[in-house]
Amino acid sequence: MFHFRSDTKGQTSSQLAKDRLKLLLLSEKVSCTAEDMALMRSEVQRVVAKYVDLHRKKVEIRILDPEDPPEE
Amino acid sequence: MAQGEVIVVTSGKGGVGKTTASANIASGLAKLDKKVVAIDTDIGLRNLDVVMGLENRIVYNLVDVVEGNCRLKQALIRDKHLPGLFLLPSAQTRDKSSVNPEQMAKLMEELRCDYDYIILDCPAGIEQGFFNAVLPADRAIVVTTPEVSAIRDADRVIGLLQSRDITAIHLLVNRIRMDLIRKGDMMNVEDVLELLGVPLIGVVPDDESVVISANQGEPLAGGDTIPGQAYFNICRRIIGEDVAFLDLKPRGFLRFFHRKK
Repeated sequence: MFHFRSDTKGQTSSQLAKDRLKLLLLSEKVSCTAEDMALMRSEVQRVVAKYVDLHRKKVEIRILDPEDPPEE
Repeated sequence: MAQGEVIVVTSGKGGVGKTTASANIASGLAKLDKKVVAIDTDIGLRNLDVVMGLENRIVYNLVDVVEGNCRLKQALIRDKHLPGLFLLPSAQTRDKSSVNPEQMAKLMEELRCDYDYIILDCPAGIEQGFFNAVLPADRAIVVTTPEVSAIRDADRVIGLLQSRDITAIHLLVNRIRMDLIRKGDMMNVEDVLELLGVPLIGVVPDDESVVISANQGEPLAGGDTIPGQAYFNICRRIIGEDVAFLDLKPRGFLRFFHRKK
């Protein structure tokens, strides 16, 4: 039996769907667009970089809800 | 005298299975010896009657009741098989503004005295029909499928429910396909729960028996099919029983691959 894999760069389509939704639902919750979110990330990064040495590629910015802490 | 519970079945997006879920939840609860009325609140687009196979018995409808053209008992249609199951059909020739939330609330108070469960089949969208169905509800079952569009709308609807102080919200994940999940081409139930953050009440697989049952106008809750069992389990959870979720995982060596993370 053969089937075509829909992986793009090792990511399954369901993982891609989940990642897209995570970003979308978050941006809708804080009522700002995905574009604004990206802008906010880069601005926060710039401000922090003014005071601390930052490796741009290693920075991860997440918005956390104190009432709903991440599972990790 | 019963003090019935009002449950709204909603989703935001159309075509995810709200009406099928409403029909099956209503008939499953009736099979558990509860007195149940299912109400089609989608005014202008009548659906629940055909899924329940009661379309030929309609005389009066929801709008007739709220406008006082008939008594409530005249509009309620008794199910063909289950003595405790009734349908209040929607009006076909009227529009959504024919009923308002105050009239719905008054009707619910009347029905609560005679029925254990009142199941409101909510229209798609988030206009007046949505609020008519949602505002009088004690609890909500949000139906979604594991697709991006349905999940996004479900999230929106959950937000609206919470903003109206409806905090008893459960998720029904419909049309799960294990073959696609196995291939990584469909989000699994855990993914959906993580995204939406409300507790699960049931998982219904995508199965031809659901289509056949709608063709026949015979809800399948409580029957032999897997969706029939899934819906019956949902009903048992609604009445407070602790029921394990069906194991829809693939079997044998495929299961080994499935579990490998």
